[in-house]
Amino acid sequence: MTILTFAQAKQLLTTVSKTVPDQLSCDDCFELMAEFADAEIHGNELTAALKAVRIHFSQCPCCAYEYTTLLEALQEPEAILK
Amino acid sequence: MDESKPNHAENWVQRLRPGADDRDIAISELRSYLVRAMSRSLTHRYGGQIDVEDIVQQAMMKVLGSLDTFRQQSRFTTWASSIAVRIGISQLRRHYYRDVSLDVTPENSELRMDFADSSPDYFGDAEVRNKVLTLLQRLIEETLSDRQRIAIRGTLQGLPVEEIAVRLNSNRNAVYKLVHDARVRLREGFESNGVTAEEIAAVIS
Ligand SMILES: [Zn+2]
Repeated sequence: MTILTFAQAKQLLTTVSKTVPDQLSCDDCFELMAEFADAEIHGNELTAALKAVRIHFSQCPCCAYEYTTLLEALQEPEAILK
Repeated sequence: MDESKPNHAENWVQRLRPGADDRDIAISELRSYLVRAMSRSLTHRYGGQIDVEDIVQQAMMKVLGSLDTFRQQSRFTTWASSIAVRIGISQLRRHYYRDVSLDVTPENSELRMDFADSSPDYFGDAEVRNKVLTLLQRLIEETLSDRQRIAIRGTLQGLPVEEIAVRLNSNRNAVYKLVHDARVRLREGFESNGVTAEEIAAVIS
């Protein structure tokens, strides 16, 4: 038996209240992640497919975390210094 | 785009194909790029227990083996980095959570509220709090499947869906869907039982 603390219940209610329909699986999201990253870095307007990626990030902390990591990977210190 | 630039996507794909004149140089350039990129993005995450060279080696194999699937919708290095990040984070998570013993097993699917939790940080309306938590408990029991309860419990204990999938002998897509569908059901349950977003917000705040 697992008892939820009040803090955990609040955490669950918080995610439930932020839940919106999500058309992507984590693998779908991964397929589009590079394209999404470049679009965001260059400030390009997002296509409908890429908007779905943003929605998935809002629902899936795992993919959002990988995206944060990717953005960090793409920061070339050499390029910034130039 | 300037085709002479080394990051021009087609350029990379051509240079990395078997038989290309400077394939060895291209492989070595990509490898060094990924080692730098992964060193700055992976080594401070999840305890950093990771061999960057090994991650990059795995990523190189994957990249070279799937050149034909590269859709040219991003820079080549962004695509290659996304592959390396996925492999690296996956390995870091596995290592980080391996020894964390939580009862995320197919055998235990119970999930109950602790209404006695005195929650000294809660100063809101006790009646609203009870109404919302009582309904939450009922919705968890009546509308979620056993596996949904197990997966939700895992997320509340801080496990990433990827790790929950390992423990349930499932895969990340399936567990993400379990969790997301469960949240949708709970949300719909609150709506159909007349609990407003304001009442939920009052309990959360
Ligand atoms: Zn995801």
